[in-house]
Amino acid sequence: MLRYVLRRLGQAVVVLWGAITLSFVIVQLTPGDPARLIVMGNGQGDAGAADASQLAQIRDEMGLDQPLVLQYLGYLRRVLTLDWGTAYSRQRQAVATVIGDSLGSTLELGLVSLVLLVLLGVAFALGSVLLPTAWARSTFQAVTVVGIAVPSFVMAILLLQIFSFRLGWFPAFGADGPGSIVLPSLTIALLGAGTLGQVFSRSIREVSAEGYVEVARARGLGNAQVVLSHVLRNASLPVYTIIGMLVGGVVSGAAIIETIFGRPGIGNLYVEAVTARDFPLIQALIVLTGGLYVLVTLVVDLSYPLIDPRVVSPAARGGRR
Amino acid sequence: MLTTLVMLVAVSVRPSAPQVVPVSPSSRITRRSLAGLAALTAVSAPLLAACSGSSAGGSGSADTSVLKVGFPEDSENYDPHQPPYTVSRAVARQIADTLVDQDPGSGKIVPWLAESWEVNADSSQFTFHLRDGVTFSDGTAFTATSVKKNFDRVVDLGALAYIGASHLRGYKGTEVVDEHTAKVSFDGPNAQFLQAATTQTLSILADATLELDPKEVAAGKVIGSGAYTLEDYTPGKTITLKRRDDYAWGSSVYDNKKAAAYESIAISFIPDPTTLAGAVSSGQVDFAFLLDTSTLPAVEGGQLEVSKNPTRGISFPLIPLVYRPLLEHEAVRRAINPATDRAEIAKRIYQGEVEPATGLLTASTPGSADLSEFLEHDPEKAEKILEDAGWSTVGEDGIRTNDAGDRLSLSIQYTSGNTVYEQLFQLLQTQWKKVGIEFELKPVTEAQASESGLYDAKYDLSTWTQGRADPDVLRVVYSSFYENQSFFYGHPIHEIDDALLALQSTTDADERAAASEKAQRLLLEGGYSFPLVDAISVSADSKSIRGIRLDAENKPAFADFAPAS
Amino acid sequence: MSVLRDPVGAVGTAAGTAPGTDPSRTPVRASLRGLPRAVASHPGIAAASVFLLLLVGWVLVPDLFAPTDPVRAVGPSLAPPSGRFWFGTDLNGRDVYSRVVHGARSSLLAGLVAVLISLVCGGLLGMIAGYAGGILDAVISRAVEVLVSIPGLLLSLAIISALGFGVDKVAIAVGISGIPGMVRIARAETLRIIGLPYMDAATTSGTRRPVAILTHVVPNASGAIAVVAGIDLGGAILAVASLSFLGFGAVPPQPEWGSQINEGRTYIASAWWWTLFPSLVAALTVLSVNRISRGIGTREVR
Repeated sequence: MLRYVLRRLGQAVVVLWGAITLSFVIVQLTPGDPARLIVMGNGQGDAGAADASQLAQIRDEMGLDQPLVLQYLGYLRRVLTLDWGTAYSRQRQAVATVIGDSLGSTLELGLVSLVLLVLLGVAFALGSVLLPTAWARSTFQAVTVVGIAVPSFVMAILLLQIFSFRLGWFPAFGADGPGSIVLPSLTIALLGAGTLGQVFSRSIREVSAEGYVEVARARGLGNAQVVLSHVLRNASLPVYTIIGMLVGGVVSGAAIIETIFGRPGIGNLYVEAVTARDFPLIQALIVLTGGLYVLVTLVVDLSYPLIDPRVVSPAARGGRR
Repeated sequence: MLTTLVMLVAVSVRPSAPQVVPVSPSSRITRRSLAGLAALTAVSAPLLAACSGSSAGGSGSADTSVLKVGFPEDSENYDPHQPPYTVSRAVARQIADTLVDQDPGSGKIVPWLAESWEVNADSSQFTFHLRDGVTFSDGTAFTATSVKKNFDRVVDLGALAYIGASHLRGYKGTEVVDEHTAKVSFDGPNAQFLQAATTQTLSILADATLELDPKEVAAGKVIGSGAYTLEDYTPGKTITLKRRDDYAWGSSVYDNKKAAAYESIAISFIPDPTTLAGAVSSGQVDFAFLLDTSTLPAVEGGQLEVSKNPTRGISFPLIPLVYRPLLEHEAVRRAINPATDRAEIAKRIYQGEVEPATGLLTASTPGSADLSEFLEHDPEKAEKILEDAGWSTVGEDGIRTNDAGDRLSLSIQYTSGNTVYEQLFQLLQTQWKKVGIEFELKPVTEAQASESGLYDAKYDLSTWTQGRADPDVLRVVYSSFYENQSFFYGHPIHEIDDALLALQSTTDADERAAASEKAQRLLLEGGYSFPLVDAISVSADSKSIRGIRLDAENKPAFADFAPAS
Repeated sequence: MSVLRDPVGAVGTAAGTAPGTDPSRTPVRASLRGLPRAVASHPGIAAASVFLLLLVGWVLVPDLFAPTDPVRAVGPSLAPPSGRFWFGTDLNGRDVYSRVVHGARSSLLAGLVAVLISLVCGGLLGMIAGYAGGILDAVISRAVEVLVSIPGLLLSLAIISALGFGVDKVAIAVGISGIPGMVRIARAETLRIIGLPYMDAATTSGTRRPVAILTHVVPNASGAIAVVAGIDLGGAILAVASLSFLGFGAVPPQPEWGSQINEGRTYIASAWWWTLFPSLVAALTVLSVNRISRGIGTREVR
């Protein structure tokens, strides 16, 4: 067990290092001169007017003229000391401040969305397995698929148009008050719930086909009873494994949803950072979301053995057979 | 000298839309664009708005002490003296006063912090007699020294206050004649200065603010003598304004000269135009400023009071970059105006909400002229101009080439985002194609746009609009005088420069109108601008407000707003 | 692995549709042989097939289905749907139906290219990882996890900021962000196959490794991988549309579903058809692709 934990921790560190490196590489590959971007950032002057010495000074201060390897090591050092520097846009505020201001609202949105998503997904799955007639089951399945097929931005536009602009039930923008989180989190949850529901219902069916379930059935238990008492626990394992992925999905979803709903947040910030080529902000957000994924999957994996002891053996987890 | 330009640059890629850069009649240019930059996309006020995040308050409270307002973008710079984004100016209007104000109806200059003034014969000296008893919100008194320090600062800010600096070009200094008399002198005629003194760019701020680092002021540490104070600013989200109970020197155009009715103003930034419209139609905000014309059907006809006002300043144009190889040909430039069907643009793209341009200034701008004879849609004429100049071979794709084999293909670079003007450009594509001109669209990100400047562009046409209720705006935009503000800087057209200079030498309205018309004729004859439509500025309110006061730039003056009941 | 792309949001999902959960535990067993039977017994699959055939027609010969010029004004602005304009017209007076039909090419091809990129790069890497094992496997697997750790849309956006605008760039970005999912599946399939008895026979009989991959692993794994790729196509189409929606996609006036949806969005209150018809077609496309992939890609367990 300890070996498993250590190995898993080691992997997490490697992945995190990879994400940090990737964020560095992406920025290196993106055209655009940071010195010029800084000078023109936010109306603090303009690049056309910036003279060469000013640009050179910025490059020198930022170490932009050093060899790439040194720049990379410097970047690693700064990341490790959590020194994110200042953003190019947003009045050159500290990156940590900019992100800090947005993080809360996205965390709130993400958590509410995840909870809703899981509830809806489980409901979808149970409905498509437990409903009494085949017709009802497949109708229910069809509904979940709609959640998968409708683009998130379309869903968001429609929900906003109907429930906010027309009916006025929920605020049209912002992140204040409980009302403001309903539509955005519902949008994200509806879309992810379809996925979750499908994975879960398939898993329920697979587990149902296994021997011990047949035995339970043979003992005369009803379908619902069998599913609820014997199948659910085992069938939920695969759901567990995609939670890390769902977290990533929620972050991606937030990029679009926050933009449409006018919620200040990490997703919105990222889209802006990309268009403004605000490199420090892009890097910090990539590392942040990468770190979040690593953390969530780590927690999931480490708690996995508690649910399914077989997991500890590496072979069961995708090691070589 | 000059004032305002606004250029617009478009902004973002947000799904939403348009972004913006609003322009208001007043002025601004975004420097990025001009200067550095690039894409100029322009903007019309009504069209755009843009920017960052937003947030807001709960909906529908019956609290009449707080006015909830939606603005499109956070312009992220609230120093009134610095770059004049429309949103910044709208905030400045509430927290700082100016020496004089402009009556939106008549265009006349009227008293505000100055009770009266004299101008010398050649318009180079302006003596202001100041109102007594005015204080800044930190308790200090407003005096002639305040005037001097403010104007000195604008000049000292240099590039940071490029619009203000252009208003004050040739500034020799301000003489403090006595506590309530200030004499501002220029080294030559400066006929536009009085109107410039009505703009927020020349707002009068307290000494304490003038001493700060300009970055701190930009971040919202502004003390003025306005009816409201800036209480709180959360970038990208909100601004809260608080009423000054002891305010008693409202502009002479206000009905209410005393303390405002609303205790506080809660401004939320809502960059998405659909959402901004939705916020006001659902009652989440009471007043929405700079609505996109595309959202008019959503806000009209319901519970809302919608106000649509023509902007004053430059008509929304495309402007040729004359140093580009194709546009060095006069015939190419001259063919574009007759190839353009402005009536169709107004009808389709703006759904009939705006009027086709009739000149280089919008029809409601003081000193405008009706030059629609140059702007009639006449594709045969356009084709003839091109044929005569040797663009006579029409390829299989319908695009002309000349004997040298050059293809008649023009391009424009603009900041991506599906916006009204992107629709407009597509309409121009089909209109121009009918006479054999290809129009290529090059959407880019804001950052890419910054890679080339107005004078080293890799595209042929640029667009911007800039507002100001004075014909002097022509001199700034269409001359060769000012780097990063004038389109023909470095490529002077002397005849036009001379005609524009005449605007500066007299304060007589008729003489200035004549000078303005002469310059516009020269510009249109040479194909130096393709004005399209006169934009409108749209705002909407929930009918819970009475006394909605918009200034000459269509910015709200909250001091005059009051609850309806 | 069922989720190739972020399950939520922009980047749609392939999910749920793939059979198992963890690929190493429940490998995909799929074969195209089941297709005809599946079509016959499932009206849903039949309908989806018909719709996809229609789409193929749109892509190959759009003019046949929509003779109206998609980039030119052909009627009044914002005309509602009618016998003449089935999906109404947009602000420029262009036929929305015609733009949807002609837009199928950029939207679907971009999705296909993206999936091909994921498939080729991901498939190869996955097979190599699965077959070679050891350090190579560890390196590839960790690299994949690094890519997975960054939400798909964010990764695509970052790549686009480096590449620039256009449907082709969007396709590449989406393709790259789909690589990790494909690597996982290919690796799992490879592991399954090399565990089969005949592989032992092949290796003991002296076949060289690269040859063994080509002759045994590729043909055996490709069926399952192709099915997953089919499922992934739906997600890729949505991802392309999302990025177009954010403004990085088609350059006007080229029609493309995502940008059409965005264009019409501000007018949804007055001209709902402009944004809703492209949305509907995009959703039906993803739905059909998913339904068919599920139909052929899985054995019904019940």
